[in-house]
Amino acid sequence: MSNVITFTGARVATPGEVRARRNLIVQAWRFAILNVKMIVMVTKGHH
Amino acid sequence: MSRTVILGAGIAGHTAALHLRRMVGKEHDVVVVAPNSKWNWIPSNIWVGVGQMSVKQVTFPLAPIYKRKGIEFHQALATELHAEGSPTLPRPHVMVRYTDEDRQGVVAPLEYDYLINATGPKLNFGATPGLGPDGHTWSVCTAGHAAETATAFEDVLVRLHAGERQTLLIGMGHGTCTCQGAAFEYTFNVEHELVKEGVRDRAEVIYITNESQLGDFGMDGMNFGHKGDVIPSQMFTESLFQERGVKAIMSAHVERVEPGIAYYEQVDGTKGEQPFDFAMLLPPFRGADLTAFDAADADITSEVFAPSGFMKVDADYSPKPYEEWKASDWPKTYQSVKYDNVWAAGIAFAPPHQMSRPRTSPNGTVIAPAPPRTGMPSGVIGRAVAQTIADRIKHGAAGKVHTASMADMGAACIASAGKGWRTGQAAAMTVFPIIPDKEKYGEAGRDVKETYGEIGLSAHWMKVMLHYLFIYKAKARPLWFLIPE
Repeated sequence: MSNVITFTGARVATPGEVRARRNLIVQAWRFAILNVKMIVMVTKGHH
Repeated sequence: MSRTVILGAGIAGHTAALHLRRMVGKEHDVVVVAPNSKWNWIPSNIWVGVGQMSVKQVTFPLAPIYKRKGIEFHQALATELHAEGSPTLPRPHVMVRYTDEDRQGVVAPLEYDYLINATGPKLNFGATPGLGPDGHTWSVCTAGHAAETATAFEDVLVRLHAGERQTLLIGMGHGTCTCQGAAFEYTFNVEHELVKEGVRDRAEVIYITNESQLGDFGMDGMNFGHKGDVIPSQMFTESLFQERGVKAIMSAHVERVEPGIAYYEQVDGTKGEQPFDFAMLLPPFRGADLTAFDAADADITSEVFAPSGFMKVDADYSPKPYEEWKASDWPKTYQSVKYDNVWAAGIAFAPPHQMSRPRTSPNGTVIAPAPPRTGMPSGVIGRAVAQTIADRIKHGAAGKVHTASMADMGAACIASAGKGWRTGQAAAMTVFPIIPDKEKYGEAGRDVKETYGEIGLSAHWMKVMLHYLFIYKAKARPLWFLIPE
């Protein structure tokens, strides 16, 4: 017996969100934001 | 002059060794003992496991780095801890068994004034019969394992291209595993490669996990702040599974693996079996097999180490139910409970308890994700311990004791979901603090402003950047110490 489940009720990304995840300009901006977020987190991690 | 011995050259041990060498004068010895000759950037092993990186790209020899930095290196496995000395050697020492070609099998003592146990995990494949490369499943825990796994995955691709259907089972090989993030990453990298190869429609990808819900990651889940809303990591993760058509078996303890089939029990007591053509299942971890002795050579292992084999440090180990767990239970200084000149850094310290609620099936099987303490926390802890020892060397007992509690530390995690400069994807997650603190942050347990997740190509770029950045740092290239852990 197998008890494999699927997640059919989960929200999936809209076509616009999928495009944004791959758009080079959007992602370059997100890359900069992520760097800032990481630096903030690293700062909080070091005493 | 003092002598500090560091057991292990993973993220915690190597970080501690490099920082300590930088902090104290050359008249003080810094000694590293590690059974492997090479350093491995483990987070990239998942790319080796799908054939997107070579072993050489994620490893490098330790000896030349240590020679350049003036660190004494012994390629050996620590077997015994004699923190009070022994009848034949009164100074504190560890017994080591060499693993290099020249001295293979030779056993010798290494004396120390200060000791850091950063031995990392023992990959406990033996906990599940049939688990591991010597059994019927693959692993990405080491670069060598990952390379073998890549070869097996290539065979799967050949069969798929030939028109066969294949079932790929990826996840946790035991009810007490940790590192769900690595299994998550490998699942989605495999799925990404299947799409790239144009064979996704003939492959069934199934994630098997001891988590009670997706997105738990052994951290009791997370609540991501997003534009004024709070998005549970469960919702975040389930979306990805649904978008990629990956199925799952939840709350599972893999009991045994036979060729092509995994037998498991779920938390409700249900027994199941899952046939597979390819399986990558991670093992549970336990502490390195170190035995401790007192000055009279009596075995005191149980006083120094927890039953899991991890070293007991300044944590609150009193047994208590999930509802009574506190952030303050977690260690701050990582000093041994028994010896004030011994510390445990990284995975080697015994956590006081899990982060996720432990569950037991009606049959008595414990299904409880162990708490992750790899990567960034390991490095931060390694550095804090090195700072404490450096201050002790310089100022004696008055030296500052540095702390690095995971309950007061943020972490950043990039979980790859496929490699490629234009097609890659990853989930970037930040979490603060690592240990949930419900007294301070309410039921969410964490600061939702600082706990954050997003998926995209930029997160993949970030993971690639961190790969090169941390290898640069580990090689102790110019200004390496400016790169944070």
